[in-house]
Amino acid sequence: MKKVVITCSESVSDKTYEHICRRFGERCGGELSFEKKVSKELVGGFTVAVDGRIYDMSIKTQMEMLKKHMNEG
Amino acid sequence: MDDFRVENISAFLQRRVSSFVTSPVVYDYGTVSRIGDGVVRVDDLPGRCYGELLKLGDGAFGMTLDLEENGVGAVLLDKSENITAGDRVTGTGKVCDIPVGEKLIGRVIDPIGRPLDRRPLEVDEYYPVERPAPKLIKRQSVKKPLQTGIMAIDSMIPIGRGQRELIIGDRQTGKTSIAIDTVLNQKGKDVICVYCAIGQKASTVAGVIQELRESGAMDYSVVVAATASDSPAMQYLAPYAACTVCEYFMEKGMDTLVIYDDLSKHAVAYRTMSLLLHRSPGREAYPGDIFYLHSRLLERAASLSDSLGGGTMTALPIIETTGGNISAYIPTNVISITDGQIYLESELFHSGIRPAVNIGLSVSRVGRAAQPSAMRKVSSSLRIDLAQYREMSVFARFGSDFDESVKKMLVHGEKLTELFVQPKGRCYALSDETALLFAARKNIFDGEDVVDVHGAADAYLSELHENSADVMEKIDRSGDFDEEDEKVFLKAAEVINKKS
Repeated sequence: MKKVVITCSESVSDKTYEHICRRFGERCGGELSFEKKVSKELVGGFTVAVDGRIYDMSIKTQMEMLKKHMNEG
Repeated sequence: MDDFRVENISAFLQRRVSSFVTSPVVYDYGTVSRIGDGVVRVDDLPGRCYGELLKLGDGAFGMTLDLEENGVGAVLLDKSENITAGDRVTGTGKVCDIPVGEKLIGRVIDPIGRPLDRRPLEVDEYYPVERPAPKLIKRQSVKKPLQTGIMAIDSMIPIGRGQRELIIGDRQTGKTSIAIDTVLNQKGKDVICVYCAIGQKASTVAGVIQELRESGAMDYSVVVAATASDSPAMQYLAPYAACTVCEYFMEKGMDTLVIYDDLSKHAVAYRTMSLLLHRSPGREAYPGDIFYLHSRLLERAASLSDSLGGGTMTALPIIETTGGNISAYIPTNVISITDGQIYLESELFHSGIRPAVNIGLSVSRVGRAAQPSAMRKVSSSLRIDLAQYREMSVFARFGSDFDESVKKMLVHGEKLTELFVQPKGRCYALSDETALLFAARKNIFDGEDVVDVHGAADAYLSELHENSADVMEKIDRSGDFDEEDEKVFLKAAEVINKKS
């Protein structure tokens, strides 16, 4: 059974969390167990860690990417 | 001027923000399976490279030193009490790097570039800490002299810019003093100096920094410090970081000097890390690549060819021996890598001969090629004179009878030995050294009435600086002297006889 750890910011609602679990369940397939963690550092959004890989959709990372984009060129 | 109006700046920012596309960021992670003694074992973190920086759980950094099929071994660069088994670890995609540039001059930093002198540091460029040494074709032979200001070294063990000269001796024999005096003597000579403290006591490093500040040496120096309380990984990185800081200036065509104080502690830190990473211990429990640890560091010191700017990096590594044993493992390794060594003896130090240089065992493999003409002229017979004196003085202790020539040789050797005693922090210019050795060569200090050699030497130099300052400046500038200058020296030497 694969373990999926979903780290959310405090602003993510339970409904959104269930939606994320469902979509990842469909994408990964097989038996999955979900664990929810909350981290204020993310500012908003969420990250999903499964199978040695992290899918980072947090606002914090997007802001870092934006900063990098603004500094380029 | 129109470009800086508020509306234009606002429009520019809006354009840049609009062109940004949000997308998920995907990266691999591993899990801490074991942590202890500053070493972390991470499972399932594929695609890492050797020396890559890893980010652990609470923002601490580690460096990958072991790559295995199912994970990596990393050493922590910081102490972190909050890391536990099960924590997530991600790769950063970059190897250890350090800030470089002119803004580092006058600063004290740690091996990963964090300032230790309580002021922010903002730089634009970063270079990796491990860089390949310049290839053969990029180098030229060592030609320019590097004056240490210490007469015994400049005359008989001359150092050139781009050379590696080892300073080796037991504890408390003046190794760091020689290195620091060399830094102090680079004032006004366009040499950027980097002092790297590895595993030293923080109080000792603070004392060195204070000395450099008070003498104005921090105007052209950088200090990279990993003290005894820093992790073995930081102590391991320190000399490579210092070398990288120097390389920036060398590649810009400047002359640089780097001091590694000391590589014995560096070897011990690397041994600590290797044993904790379960690498097979070799001789004296050092890992098999202990030679490579120092050879790849010291090979980065070079004299670059004129087509690449002609910059140089002179390295003064320091090794501490125990019981005067220079045949031990690490000392012999480093002696075989460097271009010569300055050997300091405890016996000489305690008998008042400071710097306590054993001229017989010290050598500079670059030699006279990197010595100014003035010094070459006055120092040619010094080694032989001192060697003969050392041999005959053994018999003198037993009260043997000698003929006149041997007595003269003994007196000359004794006065010469005393002339080479130099207080810490007192640096001689080239002109001072030339004048003193010229006078010694003419046996001017050998008279029976010259009781205080240093008093006589000071009077002689004062006379020259007061009445022949132009000659002294000419020697410092051109590095040579002629027959007219010799007459000036001889005239000034008359003051020794008058004042005795």
